[in-house]
Amino acid sequence: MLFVYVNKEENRVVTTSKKRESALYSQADLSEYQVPDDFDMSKEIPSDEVEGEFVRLDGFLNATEFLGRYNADYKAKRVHEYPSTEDQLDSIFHGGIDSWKADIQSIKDKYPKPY
Amino acid sequence: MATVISGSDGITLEAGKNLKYSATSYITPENNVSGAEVSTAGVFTVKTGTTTPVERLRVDNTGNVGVNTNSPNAGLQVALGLSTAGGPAAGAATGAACFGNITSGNNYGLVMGADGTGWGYIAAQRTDGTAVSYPLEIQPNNNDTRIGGNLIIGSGNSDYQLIGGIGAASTLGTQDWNHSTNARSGSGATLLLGTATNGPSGAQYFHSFCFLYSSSGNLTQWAIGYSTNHRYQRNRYNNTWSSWSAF
Repeated sequence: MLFVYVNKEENRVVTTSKKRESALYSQADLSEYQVPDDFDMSKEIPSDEVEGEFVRLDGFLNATEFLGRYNADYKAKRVHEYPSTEDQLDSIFHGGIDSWKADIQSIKDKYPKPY
Repeated sequence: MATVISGSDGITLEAGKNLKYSATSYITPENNVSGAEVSTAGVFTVKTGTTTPVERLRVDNTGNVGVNTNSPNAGLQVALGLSTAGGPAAGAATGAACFGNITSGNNYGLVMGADGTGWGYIAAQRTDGTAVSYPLEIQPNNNDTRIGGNLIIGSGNSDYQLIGGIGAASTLGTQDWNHSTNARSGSGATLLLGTATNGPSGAQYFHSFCFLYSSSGNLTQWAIGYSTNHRYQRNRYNNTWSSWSAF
């Protein structure tokens, strides 16, 4: 899972991280998004070596571009809403498998897989 | 008794004739004892294809010497340089002051100057049009028994081979991370705030380390936590910055 911190006012993807950045999570001007590890963060940039050609590089999305992909990606939205692994284990321990499955299913229903 | 020569043409020497003076004599402007006038000395030349003499060398009344300028502001001012941006091409010494072994067959020279945007340059290279550049040694310390050879840029002590000056140069850490002084190769001698413009965010200080690739302008920038273990990286490619990525 990838944590993405976005400053919408500056139209900037500020930071990405494999774990929650607590200092950024609590920063008022940033929004946190969680996306799958294979979420496409790449973008074509004009080559600085061959005029007219492009190179595909990770990490160059601005906030608008990232949110456009995020909002079109049901998996990313599900990942964003799923509780943490620790919280899910706690839910199973206290509420049982069926209760946990119902919680997860409600998220899947909220962001259905397109056909 | 001095000989006074009047007339607009002064002294005219025929072709091939020299103006000679003894080893203990000097060519000097008139010594004006009243102090009401100042004295300067200049050398003029006429460029091929022109008729107007142009002053090329000036010694002003304070002793400042100007080459290619008649108003030197320093002890020695060489007013030569490129009018456009960028340093001289390898092999080219025109438009710059040149020092070194240019009398050898290979015309080795140390070319110095400033371009039309104010950027200075020092280049060790051939000066005869042959496009070859050479390493530039600073404080090489060859055959030197003294403690030395270290290079200080900016400020600092002399305990290290290279210290100070390069890397982040922000005041109070609030300067834009994209600023040229914070995005150049070097060590993070000063600190930048994570919340400063284009920073990785977080109300904490970071060292900025930059690794610039050649003259392309492409670079990798690291933000290393000063009092925390946070570490981030981003890149600039073709003048476009990426987002920060946590290590």
